[in-house]
Amino acid sequence: MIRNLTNAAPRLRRVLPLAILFLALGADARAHTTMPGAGDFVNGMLHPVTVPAHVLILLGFGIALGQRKPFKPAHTLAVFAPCAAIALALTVRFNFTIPQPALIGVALCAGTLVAIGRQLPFIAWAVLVAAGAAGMALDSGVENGGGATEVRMLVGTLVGLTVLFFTTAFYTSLALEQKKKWLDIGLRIAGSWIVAISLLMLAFALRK
Amino acid sequence: MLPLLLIALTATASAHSESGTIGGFTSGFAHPLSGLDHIVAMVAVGLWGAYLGAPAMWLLPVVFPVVMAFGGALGVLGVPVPAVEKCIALSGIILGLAVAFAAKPPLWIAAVIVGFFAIFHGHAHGTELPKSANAMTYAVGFVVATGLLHLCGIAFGLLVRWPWGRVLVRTCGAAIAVIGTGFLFGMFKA
Repeated sequence: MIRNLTNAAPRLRRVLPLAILFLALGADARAHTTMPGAGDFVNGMLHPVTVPAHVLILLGFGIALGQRKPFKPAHTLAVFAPCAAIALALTVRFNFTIPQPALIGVALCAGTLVAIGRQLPFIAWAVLVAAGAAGMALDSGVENGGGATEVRMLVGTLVGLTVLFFTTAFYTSLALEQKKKWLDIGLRIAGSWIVAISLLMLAFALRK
Repeated sequence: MLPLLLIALTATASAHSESGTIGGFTSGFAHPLSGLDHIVAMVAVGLWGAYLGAPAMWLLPVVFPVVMAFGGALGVLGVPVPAVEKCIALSGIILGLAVAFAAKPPLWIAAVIVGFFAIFHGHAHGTELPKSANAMTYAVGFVVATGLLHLCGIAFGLLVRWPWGRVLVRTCGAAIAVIGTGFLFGMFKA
């Protein structure tokens, strides 16, 4: 077993620190803040990793997509990217306030899917992904910007959301290709952790 | 990656304080480790899971954090749960005895037992949350520490594949039951 762990772990070893890094960066989140010194595009791209609920949704979605058999990310991308892009475009014109419990609820659904290891029919999966993409995008409007600055930040956010989602999915799929039982178990346990963290965050959000 | 991770973790550290990002994480991470009654119960879940073999080995560590978070949510929201400390002590006794006697009930019964006790552990953590702690990182630390304790239990429990290991694991279960009894009758303080 130890040898299996050693042989199959390289990709997981790459993913796990990245996931913890995202959570650590997300921990100090204040939505819509900008990082001094970074450009508009980079600030927009980093926005998803500064909002805890977005990080949980993207990790949950990513692992759930990676678990889907056969792995066909293009179909999900065709749903996710346009929904996120349209919702981000809407934030230019309108101000939206997305309740955090709603976003955490999406993370809860994504974590549950990962934990139970079942895949939804594509239509249901697409609806969930579209809701998550729209929710995160509407929650990512730029407060102080306007014009080219706002556009650069929103394009950065779209890239950040898409890259985090599909990178997680890609590495999950690669890890599962190893056909190691413990990797499958580890991912399900990760899903249960996403559910547990979401539940606690929901309680904190409702307490405020 | 490791230096990046370290930088990210140390970015907003404030010494001797439970506030902020790191304060929340360390506070949440330390909480399940701060009481022997919690530690032995979490390890017992892992031991029992390993003893029962697949699928219990992964199902119990999946059920426990989810139900524990539900209990934690009740604690955070101020919903009272009766006899929390007694049930935490009882969890050590029951889970310890299950390991000591190598009990192999149907999977759903094992899951219900583990889930039942998880509520009390979670509630205790939820009610004792420091007001200043960062909620997100507290939740992450709390869940990660609990999961790591289960993994310790599973790793130790995998010794059951050898006859001497079986004896060792069952002895460990008996010791956990004794510790639980100590907490129940006030011989140990939580």
